[in-house]
Amino acid sequence: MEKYRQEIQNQVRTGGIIIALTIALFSTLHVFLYPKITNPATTTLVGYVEGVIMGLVAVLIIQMFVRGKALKDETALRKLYNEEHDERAQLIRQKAGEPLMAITGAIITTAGAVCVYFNTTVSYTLMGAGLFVILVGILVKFWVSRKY
Amino acid sequence: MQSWLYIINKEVAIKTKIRELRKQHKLTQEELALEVGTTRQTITSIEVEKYTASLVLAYRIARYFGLSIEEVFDFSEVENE
Repeated sequence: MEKYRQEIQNQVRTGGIIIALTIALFSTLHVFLYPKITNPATTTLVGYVEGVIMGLVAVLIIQMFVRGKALKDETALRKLYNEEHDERAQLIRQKAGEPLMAITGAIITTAGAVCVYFNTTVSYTLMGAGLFVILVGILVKFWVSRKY
Repeated sequence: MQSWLYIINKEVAIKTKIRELRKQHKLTQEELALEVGTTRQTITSIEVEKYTASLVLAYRIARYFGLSIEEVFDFSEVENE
């Protein structure tokens, strides 16, 4: 458990640095770069990327809060360890094809974001398809978790 | 051969005495889960025969109650297949 505690401490430290850097980067971009953007496609891409990254940062903040709290309480730390290493949860992830769904969804949405420079319709279709894949992944996981 | 594959795929529902043993020891699912290194949801799934515990988890549960695996898990359905 001591090894896991150190692992969590490292994650909290790294997560904190990532959050701070992201906020600093976006603040700088908002002040110096964004006012100069005039191309509508670039504005759409920047808005999309910023939205996705901010969403990920929000998830990261929640995770850091949960992990930071677990570091102060031995029972909470053991619970977190059990949740992360639970064999049933691993089986559900495997059965639902979670890694594949997540990677496919991420690739399609990224392709959609890049495509905004060439064709807006194709771009929105790809983004929609990517989000649909992610949504289907979540629903399949939910369905599999009810089965086991 | 097919039945063994079934077991490997954890499709066979195994009856257990975990609920009775928990009540005897006045334990909640959460407390047992914490002791044997799993989650409350997994203990629930094993108790309602939705999920079959791995050999390692079955051993941990049996050891926690001071019993053998066969005394906690009922393998009669596996033997009948």
